[in-house]
Amino acid sequence: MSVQRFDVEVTGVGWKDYSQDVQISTAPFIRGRQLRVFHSTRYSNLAALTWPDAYEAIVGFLVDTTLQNAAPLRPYLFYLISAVADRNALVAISFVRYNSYADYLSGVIAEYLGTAYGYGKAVFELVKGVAAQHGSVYSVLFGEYSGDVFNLHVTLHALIGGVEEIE
Amino acid sequence: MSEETEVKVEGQISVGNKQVKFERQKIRKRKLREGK
Repeated sequence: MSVQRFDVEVTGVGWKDYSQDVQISTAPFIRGRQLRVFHSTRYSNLAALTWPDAYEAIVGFLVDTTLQNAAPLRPYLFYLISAVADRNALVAISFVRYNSYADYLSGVIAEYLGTAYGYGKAVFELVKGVAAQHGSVYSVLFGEYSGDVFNLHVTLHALIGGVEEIE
Repeated sequence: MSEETEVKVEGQISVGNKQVKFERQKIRKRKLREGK
């Protein structure tokens, strides 16, 4: 997790004003009214890929106890997405949004929200978070490019609640 | 872009204290940054 830190400017004489010490972190502090969301999928023995081919899977949203494809009214705020392989091969992960499930079926991507590559693992942080838009469908594209059958662990971290207060 | 196929996975979503596990998921093949 990265933390950006900004130093406090000292003006005048006396105690530093720590209310001015701003930190931005991709691991937000969970407030009482917020819920932490963890989405984890382990894939095993997926057929080998050649770049730029990737597999795509819809990110499910949990509403009560039901998984649904479309983002619910109360937004999830996604902030960390990763793919981890079990060997040191090139890994890619991308997070995309479709306006609707029909658009997902026809493959019309509305927005690319981030892509990362890495050896062994690929991680990207959405520093300000991405709030899921009601009715949109979100998916991850992922791949491992060892040229062999592979295993991959894809995780997404998000928050529910408090998003309404952003801007 | 290929048709969706169902694969066996070890999946879970947890929201607060609630947790749901899933064992199957539909995936399909497509190109990264396709159309851009």
